[in-house]
Amino acid sequence: MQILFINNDGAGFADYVKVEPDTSVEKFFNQQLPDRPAADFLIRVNRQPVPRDYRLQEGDRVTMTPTKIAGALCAC
Amino acid sequence: MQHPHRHAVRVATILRRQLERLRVADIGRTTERRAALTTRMVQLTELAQRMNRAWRCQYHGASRRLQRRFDRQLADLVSEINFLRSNPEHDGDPGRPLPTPRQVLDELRQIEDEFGGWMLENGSRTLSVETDPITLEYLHLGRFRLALDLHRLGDSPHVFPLRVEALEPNPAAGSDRVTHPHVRDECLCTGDATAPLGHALRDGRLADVFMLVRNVLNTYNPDSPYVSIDDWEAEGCPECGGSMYEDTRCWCELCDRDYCDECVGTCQHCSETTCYGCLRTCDHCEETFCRQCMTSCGDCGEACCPGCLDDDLCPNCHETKENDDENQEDPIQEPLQQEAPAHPPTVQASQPTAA
Repeated sequence: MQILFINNDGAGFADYVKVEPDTSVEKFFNQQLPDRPAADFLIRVNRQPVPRDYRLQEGDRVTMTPTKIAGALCAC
Repeated sequence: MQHPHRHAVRVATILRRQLERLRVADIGRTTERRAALTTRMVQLTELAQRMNRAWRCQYHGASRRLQRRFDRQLADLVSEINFLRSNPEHDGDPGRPLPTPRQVLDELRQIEDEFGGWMLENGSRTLSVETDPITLEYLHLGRFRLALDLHRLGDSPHVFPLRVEALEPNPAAGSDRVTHPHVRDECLCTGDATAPLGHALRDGRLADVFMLVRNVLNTYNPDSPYVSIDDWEAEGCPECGGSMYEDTRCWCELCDRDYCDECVGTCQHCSETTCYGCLRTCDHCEETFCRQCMTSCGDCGEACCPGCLDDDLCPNCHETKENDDENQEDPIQEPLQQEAPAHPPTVQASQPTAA
């Protein structure tokens, strides 16, 4: 099945990806962002917070946004 | 706070118009970049052919020079490719649909869920939200209002039209302009969020834009703040702008202000510590004196320290006066001195004879 995955980490992108049926949101996170702690991300499915064992559905919109993003100083 | 239904169509209309502008500009820039990339690849191919010829002919010096040029151009090509891959303005799909009023309504609803509400102000020009109070380590910075200027979204891909206004300002002691380690003049330096913000903006994902900004505000990057948390309470030196701490603060008696210890000096006459603005350098001995101790020549008015002043005159005027006095005492010597240049021919004439 296909879902829309919006990754706000790194360069950031939004794209449709294929996932196995019955994939939990926790498993999907570990597939997409291995070695990153889930606690450091705001994960939304269809714009809503979900429990980690939520089973992804066809057409779901999954957003992963890091909670800690380094700002900088620059000439604005 | 306003109801999303009432304004979603208006926001969507503005957003679509601005994103269309941004997209046209993106396509133009992408076309230029791709053309430049193609040219660079052609140049690299030609360079490789020349290198091969040089190797075949065993022109070792030329081979080495060409190899260096090849390496440089290859590095430039790689960075150009990486830029095209990572920069959001260059992955634009011209056929990508613009956000519909329905999608904008969903965005506004999500913003309401995440921030507790939103506001459309200035004749639908500014969409704004408020953050919760922000505390970085031990530093309390209060709440911030994030105001996105919808009408300027399409102005430039390099300008992020968002103002970050401190609602309960606790600015750095050294600069009122800095209300957060990464915010100056209400402008946030987005740092690592720059690329994802660019993508979110181009997709019309307004909720993600505000959430990314909020998360940047909730993060302290000690490597590049405008003012570090450690220096937050330190006042800025009025001379150099650097931080002043209790143990490095120096009081200037003459202008009644504190300065950092690098912007003060000592008067060589009264030994008082004063700021550089209150110190003067004597042109004669080149020592520094405070402006109270520094005197001036009674004749020419030039600044002169008390040590160099003699009879109220600077050394130059004093010497001139002495010469004048001597001349007045012995007026006959003056004509003799003026006639002196007439004698050398006699001396010169005698030199060859001696040789």
